[in-house]
Amino acid sequence: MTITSLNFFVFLGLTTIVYYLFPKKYRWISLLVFSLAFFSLASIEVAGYFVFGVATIYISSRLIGEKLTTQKAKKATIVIALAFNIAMLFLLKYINIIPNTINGFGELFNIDFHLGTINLIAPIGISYYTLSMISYLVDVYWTTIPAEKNFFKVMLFSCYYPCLISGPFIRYTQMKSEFFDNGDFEWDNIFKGFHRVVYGLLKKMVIADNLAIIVNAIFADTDVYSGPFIVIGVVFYALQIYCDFSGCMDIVIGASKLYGVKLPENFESPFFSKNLSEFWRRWHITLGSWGKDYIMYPLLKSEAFQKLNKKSKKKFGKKLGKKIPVFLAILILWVIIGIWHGASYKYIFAAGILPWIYLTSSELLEESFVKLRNKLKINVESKWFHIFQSLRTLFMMCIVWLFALAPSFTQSFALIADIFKFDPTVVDPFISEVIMGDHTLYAVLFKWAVIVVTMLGVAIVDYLKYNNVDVAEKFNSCNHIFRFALLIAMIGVTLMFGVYGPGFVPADFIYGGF
Amino acid sequence: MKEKLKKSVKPIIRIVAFILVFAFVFVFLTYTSKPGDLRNSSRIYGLYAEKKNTLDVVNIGGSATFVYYAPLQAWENHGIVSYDYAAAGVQAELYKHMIEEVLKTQSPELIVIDARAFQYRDAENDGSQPPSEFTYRTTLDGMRLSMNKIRFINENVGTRIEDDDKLSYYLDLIKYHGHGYPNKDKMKLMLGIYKEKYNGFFLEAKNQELTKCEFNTTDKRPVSEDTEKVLVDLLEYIKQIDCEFLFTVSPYLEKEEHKQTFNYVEGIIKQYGYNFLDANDYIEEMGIDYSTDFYDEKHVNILGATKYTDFLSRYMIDNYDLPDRSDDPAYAFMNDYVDEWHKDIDASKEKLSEILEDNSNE
Amino acid sequence: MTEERIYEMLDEVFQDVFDDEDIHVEPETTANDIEDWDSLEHINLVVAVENKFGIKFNMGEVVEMKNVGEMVHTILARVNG
Repeated sequence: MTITSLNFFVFLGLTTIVYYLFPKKYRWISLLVFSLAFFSLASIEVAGYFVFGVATIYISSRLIGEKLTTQKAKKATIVIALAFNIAMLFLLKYINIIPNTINGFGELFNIDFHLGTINLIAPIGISYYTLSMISYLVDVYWTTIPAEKNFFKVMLFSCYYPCLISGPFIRYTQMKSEFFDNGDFEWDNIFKGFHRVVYGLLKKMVIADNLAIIVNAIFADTDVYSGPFIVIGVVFYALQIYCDFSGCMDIVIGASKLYGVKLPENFESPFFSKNLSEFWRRWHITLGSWGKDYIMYPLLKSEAFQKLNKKSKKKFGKKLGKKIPVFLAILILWVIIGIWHGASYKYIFAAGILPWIYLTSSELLEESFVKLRNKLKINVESKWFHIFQSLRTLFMMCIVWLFALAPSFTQSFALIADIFKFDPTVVDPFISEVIMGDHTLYAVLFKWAVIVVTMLGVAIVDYLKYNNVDVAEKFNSCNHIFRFALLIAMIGVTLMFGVYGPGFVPADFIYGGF
Repeated sequence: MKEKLKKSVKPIIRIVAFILVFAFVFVFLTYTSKPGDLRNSSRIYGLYAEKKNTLDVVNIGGSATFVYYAPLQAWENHGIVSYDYAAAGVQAELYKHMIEEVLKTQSPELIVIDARAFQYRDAENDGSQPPSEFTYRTTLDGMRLSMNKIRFINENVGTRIEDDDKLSYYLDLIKYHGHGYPNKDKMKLMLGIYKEKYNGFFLEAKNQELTKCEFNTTDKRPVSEDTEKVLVDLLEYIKQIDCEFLFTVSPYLEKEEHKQTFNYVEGIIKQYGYNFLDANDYIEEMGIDYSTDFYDEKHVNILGATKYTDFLSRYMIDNYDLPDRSDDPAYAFMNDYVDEWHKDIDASKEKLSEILEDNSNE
Repeated sequence: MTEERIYEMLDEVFQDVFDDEDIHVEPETTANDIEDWDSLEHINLVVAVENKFGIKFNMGEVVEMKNVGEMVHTILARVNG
């Protein structure tokens, strides 16, 4: 069930009640039941794959953590377990990358390979639960945590339903006490959880889904909707994807809060970032820290990389030399992140190679930028400079998203070329078909005015959060009437202007002459 | 434990208050977002503003009812208190539920049912208006959410029409949200005070010259299996109701196949002991002129409606026990809109005579 | 080895890795206090500490250590244990 559906709200309400009816010690068991139910409703086959996967992880963790004595045996076990689960992930999610590669290759040379892609239903959340399970097993291997003796606890950690849809990635170290040493009923949790879910629904249904209508219309045919359409489309897409993804996080983190289980944040006002490194620390945070802890650090610490470090320091001097293994490590990291986003070269480039290019060049150019700033006597502390930096960051990310919006990597250059075309005659029909949709001008203007006000509201909340204000707490301690009114307003706006339901075209309902 | 409960009282009160305010906002938004043009469903909405237990006659049907029978004319001439509970394109399967809705607040002597709906719903029988989301909603949207409405939706949405989104039928807001804004009429609807000033009648002042189809047939053309089921269902339902029922076919460009269908339907209805009146058999008696009294093949204009209202009112008085409420002070409210009605009628008749003059000058 | 000696040696490592003669670390020192100590430099620092003391941190410790005090705690355990 989608998290913006009535079914989900009912599910959330019922599970919250049942959760607190359980005696405190066993409340986590109810969470496991809910999660398996949720999982099975989405796809019973996948739930099957999942049980298989979590069993291998559990058994390996017990072997590594308790039974095996030699490092060799432990290493072999973890390699097998990881290989098995990653292979399952690869097979189910990425099996199409092989025919896609060959077809794409052919496109470059105008050969039509036409290899068919296989339509295996990618399990919901397989990308998420696999990585969370891997983090658990690796943490046991590194002796950061002892192996969990209770299989069902490992299972809950792996399939906790709020995280199944789009994350966040969770760590056993953080979640253990949240799941198993918790569960006290606090009205604060109920209210704050509710506030957060409402806020998330507002972002997703009112902002993201309405922008999506315009973005989708533009990128369905950039040949026609070219020039400024594409520029506007990419910017709208940036806002759309932020409100969609962070809104989804608000909903699931809020849902989890109802049970008193705290999930890690995935977004921290990313659009206020001053540079791209900061952006990646504020956007999809748990993916970044997963990558840092389980890919980048182990790579950098490995013998191979240490050797490379010594060699390159010798060749290029200390300063530049020590950067080279780091750049290589983050290249590998980002390519993996790119692949994780999608089984195509488009994503490997847009969500992998391009961010890597940004990060490494900003590292290398850092000194020159500082010199330039000093020469121009720019005040780095000023608000104006911060605005410039944020806009610059947004611009760089829009290029990333532009590549992500192209139908494929090879077609992204055609898309870029389309930016330099423009056909003014399509503006009118675009407005009347896509934006007006046969409704009155007043109604459409009012709706978009409300959407803009909502976006400003979100921007204010993000600005406060960037300055470390605990907005959720402040809101919860506000004057009752104000809070009530604002909540009702948010729900009202979502009900009225959110995208849901079958929709209607006024023309259909004018019974001309009965 | 007591401490805990004490602590919980305040939050629980807050939650209950919140739910109540939310419910109000939900209802407000539902009415706010309804399509601005209430024309098709306005008389369904209007029923709720009628004073309880005052209607003696209720006409149930589609546009084949509300451009035909003028309650204020029947009031002035015969003291009949009536209402056109009708919506454009109504489907026969709705009748049962419309009757139930009426009986919630009214106790009429006679309910008149538009039988044309049994002909036009069969596409294979020259039917021009089979069941569809639109023809359901013109009636449904006007009905308040109730078990009656829910039962109709459960039985017909997804079966007689293809649509698996029942929720948007129970809760209008899901269908219409996004583009509405409040106006006086909608707020009146919400408060249940939206009054149909002519008790549901719609004045039409256009003209199309037609020529009556001449035929004489007693043949019977069966309706579809589903239509027969709907008809029998309805008859079984009204059998148990303490009220008179009359089935009518209002005058239009009736074709021979249609007449044959009505013969068939009449046969079944008569078996249950109800009267069936095809006004198309009484064109001369009504004085209807096909060149001046119709606004299209399926509807009369105000001239035709005046004649039909008179004809049907006399028929009802002759065949049923209808009280004449002209001198009853409890029914003085029926005079509220009579002056406006006359103004409107005169203006429409003038407009029509201009059109007819233009036509004859061409 | 005493804690005092460890802090002395750590100062040398930090000064070398971050190219700054003035660095003196204390138990509460974290990455926020030293300009170039970011996630990219963290591993270089850790490896330098390992080499200086002839010990090996495991990955768990590398990821978990929150300040210099915790680092010293681990070093003590390795060196004297």
